[in-house]
Amino acid sequence: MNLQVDLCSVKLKNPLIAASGTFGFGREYDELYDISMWGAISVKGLTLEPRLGNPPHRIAETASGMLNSVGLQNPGVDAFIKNELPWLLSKKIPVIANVAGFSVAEYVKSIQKLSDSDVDMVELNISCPNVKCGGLHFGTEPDQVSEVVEAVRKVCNKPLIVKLSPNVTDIVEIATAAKNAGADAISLINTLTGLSIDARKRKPTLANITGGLSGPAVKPIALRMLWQIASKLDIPLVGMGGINSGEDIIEFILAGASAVMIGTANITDPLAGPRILAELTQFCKDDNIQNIADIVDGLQV
Amino acid sequence: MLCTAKVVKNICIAKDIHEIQLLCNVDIPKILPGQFVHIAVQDCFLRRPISIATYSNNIITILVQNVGKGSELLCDLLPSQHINMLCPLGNGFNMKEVVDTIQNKGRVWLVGGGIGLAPLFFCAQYIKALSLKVDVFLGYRDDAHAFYINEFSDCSTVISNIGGFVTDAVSKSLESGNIPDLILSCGPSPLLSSLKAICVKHKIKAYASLEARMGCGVGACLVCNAKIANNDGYSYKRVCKDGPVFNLLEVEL
Repeated sequence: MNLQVDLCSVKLKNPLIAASGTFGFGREYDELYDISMWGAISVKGLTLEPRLGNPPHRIAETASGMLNSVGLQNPGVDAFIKNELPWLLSKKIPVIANVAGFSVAEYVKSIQKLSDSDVDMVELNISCPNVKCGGLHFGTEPDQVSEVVEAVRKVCNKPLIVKLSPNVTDIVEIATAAKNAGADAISLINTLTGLSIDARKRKPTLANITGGLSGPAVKPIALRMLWQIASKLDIPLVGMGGINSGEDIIEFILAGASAVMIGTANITDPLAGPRILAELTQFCKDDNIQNIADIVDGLQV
Repeated sequence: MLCTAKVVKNICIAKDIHEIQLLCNVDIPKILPGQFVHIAVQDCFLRRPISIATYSNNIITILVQNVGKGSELLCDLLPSQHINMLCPLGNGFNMKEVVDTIQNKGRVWLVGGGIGLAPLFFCAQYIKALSLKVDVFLGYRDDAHAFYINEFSDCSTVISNIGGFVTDAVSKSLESGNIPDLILSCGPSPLLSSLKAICVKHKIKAYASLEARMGCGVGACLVCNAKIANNDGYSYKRVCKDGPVFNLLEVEL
């Protein structure tokens, strides 16, 4: 039974990618188990300059999920390349650099630096406010998606994954803009914007007021958007949103994903990576799936 | 490490406070006072972080205050039920520094309020086991919320303050000429703020164990941040990994 998948010519030994934001740069989870079992890792979102992030609280519990508003705390691209990347590469799994930015110029500078580094792929986080456009998120407007992806494409010599925000009216329109602007693959979904209120204090729970919803609660939306894009566009897709079992992975692959990203599950179960891989292996054995790549987009509608 | 533990005891020791003993299914090599466990609670999405109050023979004792959905469910656990927890987590208090201070004729004070006394009890037990002495300042909201007074008096000089502010008792001791070399603390933010001001004024070295809403508990997700002063102003540190114990004088409360 073969779990190997191909993502933009990078070979992953299995379709499980550790999602950006929940896995740091891998060191903490490597203390619990050998993170080399992952197909790949997408690191914590990097910005050009180091960022301190938001004040507490940054997390709120919801039904079957959680809201986060970390504020992209990260050491900056330079510090990542110097201090984190060498150790990660020693784990011998593909490294995907997730990049955030607040202007097209910032994205371009960050990608230029990463293009000169040994990361295997770049994942563009476009769920960031464009300061030049009054804080409107890049990923909500097709024109802005085109602008940032085109500019990054010119300087990016690595496979370019564009990570979509689900906080939009028409995800296919956004995906089309990303594809036409030069994306090699699309990953989705990022978090859904939500609000948590502390009824006794009569205040929002999070310091930043709203935050991003993730976890099992969002899976139906993630699957729906993935399927919509897979039905209309021909481009490799990476699915994510509430995956917590081997069976969940199969659902995303059937819906059109070549690989998946798993994030929030690590928070509730620190051994989620090895557990879910074992579950996927068992599912394939039970269902007589010889090559996982054979069932991509296999949903019968 | 992740372990399954069996509830062997759960008793109410004060208003809204339960003492719960958990028998772990694996040997846990070393647990330091100030470390905590991250417990998966039925019907709650996120785990709950709880300080370890004491540990011996594979039994971890925690004190849980019922303040919301998760803690209420923990207080309802029945003996012989099983729970899944990550343990031990966090940096813990620097017990080597504490022991060295006492052995060099220095004085160490434990200052805590309410449920914050749980990790300080572990400190007191640790020090007692070495036949050494500490002074303990215990703060409680009122008689109904008081607990472990006998257990603390078992091992150290105790000043308990019921109602009012335990930091008033600390100030009083300082003014009468008793100055410690080191303070370990844990409790509500107002207590830590007052204590920080006292320590700055009297130039006393102090550590505090903080609490925060947590995600992963292992330092990867960055949601449990505490503002810590440094040469460039401040940065955010992870309460679960860089803490929960920090230099109190550097904590921005």
